[in-house]
Amino acid sequence: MQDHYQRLFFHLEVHEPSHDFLVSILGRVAQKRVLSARVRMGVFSTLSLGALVALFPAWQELRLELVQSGFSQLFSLLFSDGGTLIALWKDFVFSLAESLPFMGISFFLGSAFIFLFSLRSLSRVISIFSYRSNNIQVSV
Amino acid sequence: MEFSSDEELIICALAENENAFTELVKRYIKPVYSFVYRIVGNKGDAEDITQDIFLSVWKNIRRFDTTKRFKTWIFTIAQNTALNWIKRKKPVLFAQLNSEEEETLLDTMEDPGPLPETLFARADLGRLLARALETLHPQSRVVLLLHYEDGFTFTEIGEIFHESVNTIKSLHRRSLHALKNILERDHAPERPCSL
Repeated sequence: MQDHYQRLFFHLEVHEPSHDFLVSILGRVAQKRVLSARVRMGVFSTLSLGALVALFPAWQELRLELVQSGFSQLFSLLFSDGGTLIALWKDFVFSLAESLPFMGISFFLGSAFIFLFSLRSLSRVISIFSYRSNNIQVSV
Repeated sequence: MEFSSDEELIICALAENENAFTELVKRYIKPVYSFVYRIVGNKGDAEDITQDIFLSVWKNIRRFDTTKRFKTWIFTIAQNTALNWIKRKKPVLFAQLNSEEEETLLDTMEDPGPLPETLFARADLGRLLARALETLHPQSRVVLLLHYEDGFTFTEIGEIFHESVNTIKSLHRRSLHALKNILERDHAPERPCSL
């Protein structure tokens, strides 16, 4: 029975699109690609600039906190009184850990990570964008 | 660069290979356009909807499950886009055509019998069939086109509609009954006037 109706559908006229329809579809996709690339460039540029600007005060703050918490002084004992520290290494390690300024470190590393990530994303968008501008071909 | 399968094309398209995406569009532009045309009935709207479909494919290609068949996926997008267009522009077509009792009765009926052979002898059979399809409910039209024109199995049509195979088989049977009735009515010779 299905073969019978299959035979019926062979008589259905085939409809074809306009001659340049393929080009117009690909053109529209290309427009969306360019728009998407521009938006991503804007977002990652802003993000990397913001993160870069935040890095300097983050670094200053981290340096200050390292001194204020006593971490710098404790760490310098490694080089001045190494022999004693080896004997009391457990207490020394705990003291170092306690004096670590976690907030300052988090802020600094967070800014650095966001800066590097957004810079990497930005460079990818730029490289794809410039590759396509130089090499794009639509063959119909 | 030669591509043999849709899966290879998709993998390359995901790696930002524009030629791969262009090749995908080339492969499916005619079947998708033809399918959409049969649903909406005019060239302008069919071209607009087809463009939207391929834009949607481009936007969502990263979400495509490469273990599934690409043809099923693109026709799912095509079916949804075209039927949504009809719902917006021609909502009356989506009104329930049969009552639940009628649908239950149709589901228990046997498959429609063959069409008369004289129908196949008509030179305008293609036009007659196209007109008959236009009068069917859009869902019925889609099921018949997907199965007989685009070669999808009932299982694949079920995936496109997110329905079970049995539901699609019932819909198919009802659609064939409706199509047969319309064709036989349009093909019947006119009765001579009686004075």
